[in-house]
Amino acid sequence: MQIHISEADGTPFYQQVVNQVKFLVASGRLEEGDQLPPVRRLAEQLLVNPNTVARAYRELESEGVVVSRRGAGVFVSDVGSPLSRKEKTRILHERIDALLTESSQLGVGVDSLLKLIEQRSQTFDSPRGEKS
Amino acid sequence: MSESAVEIKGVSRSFGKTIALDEVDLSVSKGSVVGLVGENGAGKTTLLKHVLGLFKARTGTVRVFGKDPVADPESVLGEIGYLSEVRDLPDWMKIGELMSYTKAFFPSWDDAFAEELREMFELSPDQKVKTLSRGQRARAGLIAAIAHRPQLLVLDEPSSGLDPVVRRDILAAVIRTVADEGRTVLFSSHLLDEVQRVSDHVAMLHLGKMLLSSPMDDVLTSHHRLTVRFEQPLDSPLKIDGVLRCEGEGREWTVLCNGDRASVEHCIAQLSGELVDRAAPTLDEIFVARMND
Amino acid sequence: MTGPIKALSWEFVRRLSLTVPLIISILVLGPLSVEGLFWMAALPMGEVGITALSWHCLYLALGFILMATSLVEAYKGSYQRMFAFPVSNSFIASWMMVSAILAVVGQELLIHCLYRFTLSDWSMRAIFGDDHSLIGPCQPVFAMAISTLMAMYWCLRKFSFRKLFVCGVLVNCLGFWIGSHYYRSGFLAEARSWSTFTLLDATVCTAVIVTSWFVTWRGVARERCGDNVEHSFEKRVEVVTNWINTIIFPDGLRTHKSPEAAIAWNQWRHCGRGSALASGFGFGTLLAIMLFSSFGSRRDPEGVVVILLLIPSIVGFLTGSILGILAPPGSRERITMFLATSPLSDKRLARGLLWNAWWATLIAWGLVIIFGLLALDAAIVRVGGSSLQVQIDQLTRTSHHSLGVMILPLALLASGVLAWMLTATFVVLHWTGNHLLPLFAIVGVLAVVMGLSLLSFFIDKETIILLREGAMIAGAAVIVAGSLLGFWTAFQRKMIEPGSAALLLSFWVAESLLCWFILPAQPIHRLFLIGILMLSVSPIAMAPLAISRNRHVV
Repeated sequence: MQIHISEADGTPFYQQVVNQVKFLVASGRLEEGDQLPPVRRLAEQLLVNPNTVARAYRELESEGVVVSRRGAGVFVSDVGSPLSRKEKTRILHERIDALLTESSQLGVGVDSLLKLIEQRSQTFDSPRGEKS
Repeated sequence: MSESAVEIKGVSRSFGKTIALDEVDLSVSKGSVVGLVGENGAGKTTLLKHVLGLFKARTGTVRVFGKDPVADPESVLGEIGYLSEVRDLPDWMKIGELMSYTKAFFPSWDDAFAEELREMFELSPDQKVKTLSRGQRARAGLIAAIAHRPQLLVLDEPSSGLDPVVRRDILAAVIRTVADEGRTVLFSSHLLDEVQRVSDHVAMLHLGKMLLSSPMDDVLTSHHRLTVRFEQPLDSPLKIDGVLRCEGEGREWTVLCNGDRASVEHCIAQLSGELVDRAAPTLDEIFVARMND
Repeated sequence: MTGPIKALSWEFVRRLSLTVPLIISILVLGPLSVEGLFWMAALPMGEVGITALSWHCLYLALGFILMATSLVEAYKGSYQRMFAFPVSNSFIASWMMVSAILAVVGQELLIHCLYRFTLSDWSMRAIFGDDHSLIGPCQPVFAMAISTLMAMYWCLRKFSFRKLFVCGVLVNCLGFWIGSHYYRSGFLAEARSWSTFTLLDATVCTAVIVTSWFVTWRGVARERCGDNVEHSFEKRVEVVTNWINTIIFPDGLRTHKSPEAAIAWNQWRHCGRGSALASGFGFGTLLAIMLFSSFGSRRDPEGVVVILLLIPSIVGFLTGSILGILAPPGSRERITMFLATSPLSDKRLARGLLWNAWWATLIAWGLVIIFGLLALDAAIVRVGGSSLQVQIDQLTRTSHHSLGVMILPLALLASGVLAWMLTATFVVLHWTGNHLLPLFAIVGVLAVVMGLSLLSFFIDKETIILLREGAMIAGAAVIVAGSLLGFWTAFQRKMIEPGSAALLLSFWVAESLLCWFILPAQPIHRLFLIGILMLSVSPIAMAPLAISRNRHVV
């Protein structure tokens, strides 16, 4: 499981861990029943306080993304697909919000933005479309 | 109280005319990582020396695990692992000798752990401390500081002047120490990104005064960085309550504020400023703002 | 060129500002304490027959050795920076050589002036001989010696055994040349002082100095471009010391028995064994030379006693001064963090440190005594049995020696106690963290002795004797009262067990009884000695207090 955190991100570390685990689940890189690394190992890997990782795991557990089985560790829960759809929307919402803020500051309207998105996706399609 | 590992109350100290510590209070609860930050000469080392019992508190009290470090160095220092930038390991000692020497003082010394660390750090028992590079020296000091699995790890600017690999080793040791149930870390550092990463409580010293001492999350969430654009160019920085630092020129300014964000934003709106960006600042930015405030 | 000279001279003076006064006080204190010893043992000054020559050689040599060591340290600290200055190699070589010569010669002249000022004429004669030739050919000879030493240092920075051999041969030749001036009628005959400095002598000295300058210059040039590093002396020496360590000295990889043992081991390896061996061998050789060369003159036994007491005291003083320093000189710490953060109570830390001081003193003293006994043995063989019989008879018959032959074993015992007493006292004074304290102690004693001898010019004899006795009683009272206070404080702060305190005090009582009933001195002198003897036990009680003061800065 590869997670990268950065202090310049502007969100708290535990939130970054939560978001990235959710992203990994949503993108299918973590599948139902996969085990997350123990708190201590992940903390050493990320060089953050173990409490931060523990808090992130608690958060994930309360949201139902993972379940912790006593003595065995923390596993991705089996509610996989509906959550991942919700999560995908959430992640995209974040990006779209950022895009909208920037375009309004640049003085570009929503209509022109939609056009731009269509144009870009056409140029993107040929090499990328085959892959996915 | 059994809950706090270190309890400092009202400690003051001055050297001649310079005031190193001024009525400093600090409470380190068990199992936490406390980052002590401050400029050079803010009194961090002096404070840590009080914890180690190398300074006797002239006013106020210092308690480590409920004991006085001056009156009872044997049991207090026995629970502490200490590493500093200037931890003066004897030049002539070999690594192996250093390990068996340190072992003599700690009944809880873990030979297997020490050996594991030594191999991880690629130090040979026959190497003399004199021949080690700065990073290797820090690693040797680290072995001596943590191989007895101390209840409290005290680090005085452990990573200044070291390369990123050694810094990582030291941070990993800090994390390993707290990951073991109930162990505590108190460390001072200039590298605020490190502090932000590993500590869950931050204490900021400035000219001997404790400027701030609160949980890391509170510190980070109670500060905001706003980027503001005004209609008319501003001649001088904003002077609003809660604004710690205001930087910029002309129409665009970056404001770092503390506490009630809404009231600051309201004031800015009244000055016909438009909020362009809002983000959480890093500890580094908060530190600089606080020091210049 | 005046810029660099000014800057370098300033640094040079600053670096030596502490050591030179110390050396001078040691050298001045020596003859004064000899005077004091004579005076306390009520020996008639004028009649003592230690040959004058050995004393003046001793003083000049001691001064030279101390000065040369501190010079090596001073240059070691500064030459790396000197190399970064925009000055030529020849400038560096010349500057070092000139400053060293000036320092050595100046120090000797200064000490001579101080002697003239403090010592009375008769003790000058008794200690340094009739013509007390402290001034004369010695100065050019020592200038030559210091430049040879410097040349050797720089030559051997790029070490090879061939060079060492050549240096050894050359030094021996020079030694022979110097010796031939003293033993003009053969080395077995009695030595005479060297008073006339011929043109030939001047030529030899100049030639040696010039050659030394040349060698130094080459060495500096090599060092400056980093050519010496691989062949450094330290590396070669390290191979040898490592080998010795594996054979003789305790292995640091073993498990230490206790934290105190670990502390003692650390200190022993750090400075204990070095100072013990160096002073043991150094002063042992000195004692051997002095005993061997002076034995056979008319009133030897007194001389033997004085030397037996004096040299171990110097050994004790030096050992105490070295072992008392717990932080590297020049650092701001008074005790290294490494030691201060040892998880040990002040009492146990002090105990570990005291163990080391005890062993270092014992070994140094033991070496000195072994050397002395060997030399005495050799001297007896040389002089012959019949002469020895005469000497012993003379000794037993002398009126002020009611002790008879017993004086020799007693002196041996006293020398051991004296060595330990000085070590312990100076160690503890240094351990307080205030390095001025021992200096104050020396200067204080010196001031009292000097003041009293100066006063004797103005006041009549009875009053001066009264003053002297008053000072002695007051000094003894201060020592005893201070020590008892120390015992009490240590006891109250639980730094000494009642049992140990009682044992120490009873040891002191035993010493006092021995002193009181056996020594054939005046009661006041005996009382004074009893007071001084307190210092052989009280440092043990005071050590934890000193460590505590040093470790926990108030």
